Amino acid sequence: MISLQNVEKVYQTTSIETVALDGINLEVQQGEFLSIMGPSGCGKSTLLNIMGLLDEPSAGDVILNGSKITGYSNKQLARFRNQNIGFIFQSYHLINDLKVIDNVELPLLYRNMSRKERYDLSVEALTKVGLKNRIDHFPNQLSGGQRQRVAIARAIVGKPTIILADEPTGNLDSRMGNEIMDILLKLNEEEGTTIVMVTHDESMALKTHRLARLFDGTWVEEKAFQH
Amino acid sequence: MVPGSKKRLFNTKSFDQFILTQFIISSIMIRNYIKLTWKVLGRNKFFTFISLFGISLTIGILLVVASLFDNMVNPSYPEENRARSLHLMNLKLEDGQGASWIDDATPYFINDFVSKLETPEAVGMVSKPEKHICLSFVGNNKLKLDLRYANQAFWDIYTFDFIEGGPFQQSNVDNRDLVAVISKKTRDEYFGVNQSAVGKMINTDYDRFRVIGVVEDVAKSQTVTYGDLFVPYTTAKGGLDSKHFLGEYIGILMAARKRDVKKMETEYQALIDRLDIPAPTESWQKNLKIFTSETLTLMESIAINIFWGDQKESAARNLRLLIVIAILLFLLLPALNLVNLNASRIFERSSEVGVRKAFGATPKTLMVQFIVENIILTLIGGLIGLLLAFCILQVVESAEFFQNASLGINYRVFVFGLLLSTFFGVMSGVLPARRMSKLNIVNALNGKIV
Repeated sequence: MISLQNVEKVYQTTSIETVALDGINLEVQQGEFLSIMGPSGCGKSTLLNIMGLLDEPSAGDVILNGSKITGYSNKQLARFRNQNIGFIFQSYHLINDLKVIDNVELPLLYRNMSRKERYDLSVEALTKVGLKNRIDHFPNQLSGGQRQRVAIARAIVGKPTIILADEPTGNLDSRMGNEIMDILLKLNEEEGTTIVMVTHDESMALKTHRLARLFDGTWVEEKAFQH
Repeated sequence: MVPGSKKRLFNTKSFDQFILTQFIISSIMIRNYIKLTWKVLGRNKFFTFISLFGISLTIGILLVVASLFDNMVNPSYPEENRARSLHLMNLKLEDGQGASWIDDATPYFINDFVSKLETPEAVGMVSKPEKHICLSFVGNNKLKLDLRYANQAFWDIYTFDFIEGGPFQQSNVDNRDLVAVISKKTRDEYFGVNQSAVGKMINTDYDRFRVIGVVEDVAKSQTVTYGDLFVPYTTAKGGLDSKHFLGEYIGILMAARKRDVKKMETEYQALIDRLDIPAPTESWQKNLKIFTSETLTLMESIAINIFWGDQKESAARNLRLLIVIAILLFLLLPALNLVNLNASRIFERSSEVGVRKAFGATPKTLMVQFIVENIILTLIGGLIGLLLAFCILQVVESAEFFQNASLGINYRVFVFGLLLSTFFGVMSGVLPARRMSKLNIVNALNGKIV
């Protein structure tokens, strides 16, 4: 499903060369829920960005759903992300000017789809995250947990096979964090969506199938859990 | 069935489907752009107000200039045939030592030479404006009337609207009949508002004329056709017997078709080249070396009036240059300002750009989104500008120079305004939108615009 082979990421300025990822190999199976932990600045987000095709590796290969993503144009990358990947960010990144329903249908705007189809799919996604009754609200009328649920609805509305979540519970208290985690677990279990989640919270990571620890751009530990 | 046609049919169908799909996608997109634009504009009301204020003011003023220019350049009442006409003005005699004499033409020159040309369909003449101001009294009120002497062809060339009566005929001219066509304004002042005037007499300190027609008023800015009182040139007190060329009449040569104008000009120049020039005075007779006379196109006559003394070509060139520079300067400053305003408005939304890109928006889609937003903004600004221009023009119209001019927003000015707004929208949107659409997604999400 997701395969990273010898992925390197080096940030270069005129004077310094910073190695963010150093020869990362990773295999994520279909339907797996992987969590990635590590101290700040260890390259977790960079890794997730490369997996999500938001950033390019300096070296190495990214293989998603069997396609080797090399030499793709911006347009092809955009299309691939649109069809296959859903993103959840720590700070939600909702568009405040748009209603909940409009935020959720955003990925569908870039598909060939009628208004009705988009509406129906968005309502379905919002139902899954328990916010069907909030479709006409604006993001700033919602709590943090609700906003993240809207962001999850947006991530799943296009029925992607992969969901990449960058500290989805990082801005939430533990009760809301658990709610979000429950939604993600359910999504993984019931729909078989592959999820890769970066987190700082070990208790969240323990609920996933596998935990990988990153330190200074390389793997230092890997644990699988039986639930 | 023709072999292979089945395949072609299939291709056509899929092509149709492709077009249909593209159409659906575009219409979905456009609707969403408009929806979003509306929200974005409402988000920062002060900002929107400043943007709109700048755009409306600029577009408003440009529309006023356009309307004035349009009024000068484009055929308007009663000079609808200006495109196929040449004005005969500024005839010039030189002694070869620096002295020169410039004036318009005499009836002799126009009748005996210019009228003999083959290309013109009609050769009209009319005395200069403000050359014959005659006085007339209504009760205790003194009326100053701008009297214009004209020939019969003048009425054929210009499309005056007659409220009553008609123009004078060739027989009136031949018989030196004291008949007059008066303007509506003169009628209202002399005979009373909306009173019938045809058949009545109008007394002036020049002569006593019988009114035979009343025409709609002409703007004072139209120097050839403006006038309060038009009478046959044969009733003029002097100048008719002159066998000189330089006099006080503007000649108008009208070709049957616009494409004949050049030919008409060539024929006229050939005439000038072979003429034996009578000198206006004895001393000139001795010195006379060169006679030049030019026919002027509309642009040239405007230019000559502005750059007095220049050659017609260079005057027209200067005028064009001046217009282009003025428009560019006028457009450049607000456009730069708008680029700046838009840049900050768009850059504020870097996180939105990041999200949209992450979820599948291509750089092109985003660029179109921002440009559409900008065009909508400038179109709203253009609309306000249009209203503004309309109000300003109402005020300008009451100024004396443009008296009677109909300076409204016609379709030409409207289309100009529309193009102008779109131009602004595109110009001020492209740069920031381009930069934004090329933004690295991770940076955009983090609010970095580098």
